[in-house]
Order: sequence, then structure tokens, then C-alpha cells
Amino acid sequence: MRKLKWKRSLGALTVVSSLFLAGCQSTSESEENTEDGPVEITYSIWDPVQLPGMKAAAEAFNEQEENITVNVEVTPWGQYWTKLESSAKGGNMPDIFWMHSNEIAKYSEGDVLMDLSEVIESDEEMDLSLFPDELTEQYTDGEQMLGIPKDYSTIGLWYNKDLFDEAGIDYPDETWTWDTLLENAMKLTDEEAGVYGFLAPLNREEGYHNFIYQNGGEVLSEDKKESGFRDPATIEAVQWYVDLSMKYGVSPTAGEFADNSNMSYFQSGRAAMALFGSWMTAEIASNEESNEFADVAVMPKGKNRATIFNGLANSISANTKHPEAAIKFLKFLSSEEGMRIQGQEGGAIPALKGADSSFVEAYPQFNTEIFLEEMEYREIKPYSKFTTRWENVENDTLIPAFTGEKTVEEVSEQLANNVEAILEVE
Amino acid sequence: MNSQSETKSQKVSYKNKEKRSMMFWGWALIAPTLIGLLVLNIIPMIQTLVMSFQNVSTFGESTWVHFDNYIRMIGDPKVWQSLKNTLLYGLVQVPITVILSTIAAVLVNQKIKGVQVYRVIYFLPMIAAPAAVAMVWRWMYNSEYGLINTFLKFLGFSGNIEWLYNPNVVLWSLIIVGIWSSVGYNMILLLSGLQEIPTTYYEAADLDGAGPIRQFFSITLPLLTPQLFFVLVTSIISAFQVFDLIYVMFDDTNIALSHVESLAYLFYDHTFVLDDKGYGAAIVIVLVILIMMVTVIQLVGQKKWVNYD
Repeated sequence: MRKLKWKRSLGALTVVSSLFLAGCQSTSESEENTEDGPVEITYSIWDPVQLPGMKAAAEAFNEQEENITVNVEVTPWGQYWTKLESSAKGGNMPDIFWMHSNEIAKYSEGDVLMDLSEVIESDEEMDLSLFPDELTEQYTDGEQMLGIPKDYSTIGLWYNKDLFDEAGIDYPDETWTWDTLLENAMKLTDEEAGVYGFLAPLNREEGYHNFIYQNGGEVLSEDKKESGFRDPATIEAVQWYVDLSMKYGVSPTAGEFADNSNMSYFQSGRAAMALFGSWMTAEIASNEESNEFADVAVMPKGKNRATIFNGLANSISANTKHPEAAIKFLKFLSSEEGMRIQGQEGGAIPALKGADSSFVEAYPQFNTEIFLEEMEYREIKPYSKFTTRWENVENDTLIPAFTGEKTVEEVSEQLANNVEAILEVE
Repeated sequence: MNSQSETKSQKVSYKNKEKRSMMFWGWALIAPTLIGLLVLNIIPMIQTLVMSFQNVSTFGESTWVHFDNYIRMIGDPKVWQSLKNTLLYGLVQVPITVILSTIAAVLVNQKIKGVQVYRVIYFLPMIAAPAAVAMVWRWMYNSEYGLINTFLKFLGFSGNIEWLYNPNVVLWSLIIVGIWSSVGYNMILLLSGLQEIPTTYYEAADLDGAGPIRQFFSITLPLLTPQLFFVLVTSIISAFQVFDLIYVMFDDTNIALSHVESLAYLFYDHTFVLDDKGYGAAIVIVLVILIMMVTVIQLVGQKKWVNYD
């Protein structure tokens, strides 16, 4: 009698808990990837602009490998990393997904990414030297290869042709220097009409970091132990950038970008020139007006030429249930064909040498070849283990300089100390 | 004799059985809530407390650092600034919200035409998603094209207030939205209190010649204190936890962000953006202690002013 009751209550408990757990359970499919059965894998990305390209690649892959279906999932950047992290902890990461330089250190330390070095070695077609070497290095940890470069990005000087025509000024080209930029920005600024010659927001990758390298400065030292903000060349470049808004008034102030983003200034025809990364090309083309009036040129020359460059990689989960299918898809994405499909959709510049021209072909209306040309003097986006932490500190410490309360020189010592305190614990 | 004792023992075992069965069903019926609370609230709370004493590594082993995270907070100007922001926000937003909700509740408690429509209008901000609310306010706050500055210009003011990035203004922009979005909800709570007050009191006051203002302060307000107390406690708690409005209205590149970010925002920033979960946990524990202290003070202080019949 007693025993029976115990059994009954156990039964009830099971019912209750199974009800509760039903929501949490992930779809567990066949344990082993069988050679002939149909398989579904998940490809997780964060950029909705690139979704068409990724979907096109998944479909093309499915035509070759009828048994493997790839589901492309978009999670916005803000939630992407939180989601990926908890799925990694729970052991149910997507099979294949995008990786970024800000985050790779953490995942590599956590041993949650598949080591791809054997996959690459065993494949004759795959040649890592055809990818920008800074990118392959970024996603390599010792002997392990944790991601294969997917795309790269450089920064261009976008301009409004209409405003240049009205002012009778020649479009920017490779002869431009910092002085030409400032001089023409002043001519193009029309305070009454609310039009600015240039846009200089508090922005690193599409802003002052480019000028730092153009001036021969650096953001982080080579060994990633020191900040570059003790270097007079760095300070000078950032001050010059700040002066664009604070001294010369050719740009809205850093604060004013809280009301209107730099892209909305540009697209509404209120800015003659602005720096945007190659990944923004789709955004500029998607607006009927800016598609008409915009074009892009190489960035002006300082002491030398430089552009910040970065790139994403595709990584595979270390404990994916379908390693073979995921590897097959990764190989396809990294092949000439897969790369070209992504490039044709115009979301990003394919990382594979030779395939990158497909991006240029996607935008006949813009002079997008410059993004490829700029690769000659590229500087990899500064990164270390805790990139977001020192970026945050750099941002906060520079605010008084961007509001004109202090000079860049005055905040630079504090900036360098704060950044180095973070680099030290890495 | 024999049979008597047998029935007695049978009775006892029957009672025990019944008791046990009641126990079982009691637990079974609260199990869904209990499991939910445990898994979603209580266990994470304990984990947060533990993490606040650790240097948390996402995938690897977390190390114990004792009170290091708390000590670091003392020397962190951002913590002090956001504590100041949080307190100032609560200190201004809560009293104004409570006063306005009381006025609104009294007004929609009148016998006027279309009173239901007014109630709905006041309650609408509560139904709207906070993110959408913040987005619309952001447009209205735009210093160049925004509705508010345009309106101020129309009234003859200069209308060039930088609502979204002037360090001296941003917290007030947030307070205005905070008040606007919580008046409706509190109004409904207070309205229910108003409707419980017997009309005979007002009739008697009328006979004694008391005017509406006297009636409000002598009858309405004292009898509304239980609801006012509840509204005050919940308003302070939610004011101290303000996050979503800041997150949507102020980008992380906004130069005035440090003048508006709350402790809850700072916790989010350290935990999810900067991946410093130990420090983030310490910040949120301080916030919890702060809220607990204020709530305890209120619970003790209520004896002085809350009327329970």
C-alpha cells in the first residue's frame, strides 16, 4: 500500500517535471551523422543585411548536398553573444556560426570551437594563404585553427556628389590629403542650411582610429601590453579629428550625433563627406536617394595611407552532432563558389583572394574597388583578449576631449594608464 | 474490546493517510510555481551572490577574490555617478508620479461623460512596450526636428534644449518619460482605493459644509493611504531598477550616457557587454541591498501615516 503511493507520487512528480522541462529540451536528433540520412544543421549569424547572401549560399550548398539542409538564423548583434555564450555553456551551440575578433579570445580559451587545422590540411583545395594573413592569425590559437575567414572590411570616404557639384568642387580622389579634406570640408559646410562638410563622431573603426594610423601612431603596441596614447603621433591625430567639429565646425559635435546618427546625416543630404565601412554599402544603396547621390573614394593621405580593416570568420562548434555536415558546409562557404555567392549579394567583401571582386560587381553604381585597393595599406582593427573592455575605457576617457572640455593631450595619460590596467590582467 | 481497539487504530491510520494525501496534493499543486521560482529566481539570486565574490570566467574556472569586486566599486567613479543618478531619479520621479497619479485617479473618479475614455487614455502608456515608448520619446526629444523643441519655439522660447546629450539635461529627460509611463498604472491602483471609500462620508461632509478641497484632504487622502503606501513601495522599487528606457533612449556612444546611466544599466554593461560578470554581480547586489533598505524603512515608517480601518 505504502509502496504503491510512493510510486504514484513519483509518477506525478515525473509528469510535473516533464511538463516543465519540455520547454527547455532541445531537439536532439540522431546521435551520429549517418552517411545517407537527411541532416539539418544550423548556421547562426548576426547581420540581417547579409541574410540574403548567407541564404543563397545555403541553398546552393543544398543543391550539391541534397541530404544536408542548412537553417540560417539571424540574432541581432546585441543578443548574439549572450545567446552564443549560454548555448556554449549548455552544450547546444549552433553547428556553424560567425565569430568576431572582439570575442574570439574567450571562445578559444573555453575550448568550445572545433579545431579546423586538420580539416584544412586534409583538403587540397583549401589554401589559407589566399586569405588576409592578419585574419587567419586572429583566429588561430597556437596550433589550433578556430575559424576560417569569411569576409573582410575596410573604410572608405563616402561623399555626396550633389553637394560637391553645387559647390563646384572636384570629387575626392587619391590625391587628397588631410589638408585637402579640411579645406574642402570648410567650403562645403553651410551652417544656415544645416549642411556639414564632414562627419566626425566619437567612433573608432569608422572614425579616428584610421587617422591615428595615417599619422604613424598606434592604438595598442605590437605586444598588446601598452597603449598607443603616449605616442605624440596618436595624440596629434585624435586632436585633429576632434578639431574638425570643435575648432573648425565642419562636423556636428560628438553630442549632436545622439540626435541624428552619422548615417542619417549622410542619407538626408546634410553631410558632404563621411567615413563608412564597406559593410555599410548595402545600407547606402538601400536608400533611393543616397543610392543616387553617393559615391566612395579612398581615405585621404596623412603622413602615410592607412585603413582599419577587420573580418569575420566561420567557426564550428566543438561538440556539434553533425561534424561532417558542418565541415562540408564550411568548406563550401570558404570555396571560390561559396564566396562568390555571398559577394554577389553585396553584404560583405568575401575574404578569399579573387572572390572579393564579386562584391565590386554587386555595386556598379559605386566606386567600390577602392575597398579592395585599400587592402595594400591595411591595419588590422586593434584587438587583444578583452577588447571591449579597453575600447569602453578609451571611449569614456575621450569624452571630455570630444566635448572640448580638455585637450586630447590632457586626457591621454589617464587613457593610457586605464587601458594598460586592463591589458595587464589579460 | 478487541474490536473496539481495532476500529480506533484504523481511524488513526485513516487520518494519517488523509493528512499525507493532503500534504502531497498541496505540494503537487504549488509545484509549478515553486519550481519556476526556484529555477528562475531563487537559484539565480544565490548564483549572483556567489559570483559577486568571484572573478568569473565564462567557460573556465571562476576564482574567489573575496571582497575585491566590492572594494573596486568604492574606487570606481562610474559606480558613484550611477548611484547618484539612480537616487536622484527615484527622489524626483517617485513623488511626482505619486502626486500626479492621485490627481488623475480623483479626476477619473468623477461622474463625468466619457470617463471610461479618460481612464483608457491614462492607462495606455502602461500597455505600450517600454522600448516603443522610449523610441517615440527619442524622436520627440530630437533637438532639431523634435516635437518638444518645436512646440517650445511656438510658445516663444528659444527651443534649443539638447534633451538627449546635454549632461545637465539628460537625467531630466529620463525622469519625464519615467513619470509619463508610470502614472497610468498607479492611477488604476489608486482608483480602486477611491471606489472603496463609502459615499456616505462625503454626504455627511457636504451637510457640514466642507468644500471639495477640504473633503479631499480630510476624507479622501487619509482613507487612500493603504493604496498610496503600496504605490509608493512599488514605485520606488521600479524607479531604482530603471533600465529599459535608458537602454533605448541613449546609445552606448552617447557622450552624456554617464550622466544618465543607473546602477541597473551599469550592471548590464559590465555583465553582458564588458563580460565582467563578477563585478556586474557585485553592482547588482549593492542595488538589491539599497532597495531592501529603503523598503524596510518604509515598512517601519508606515505605522506613522497609513490608516488601516
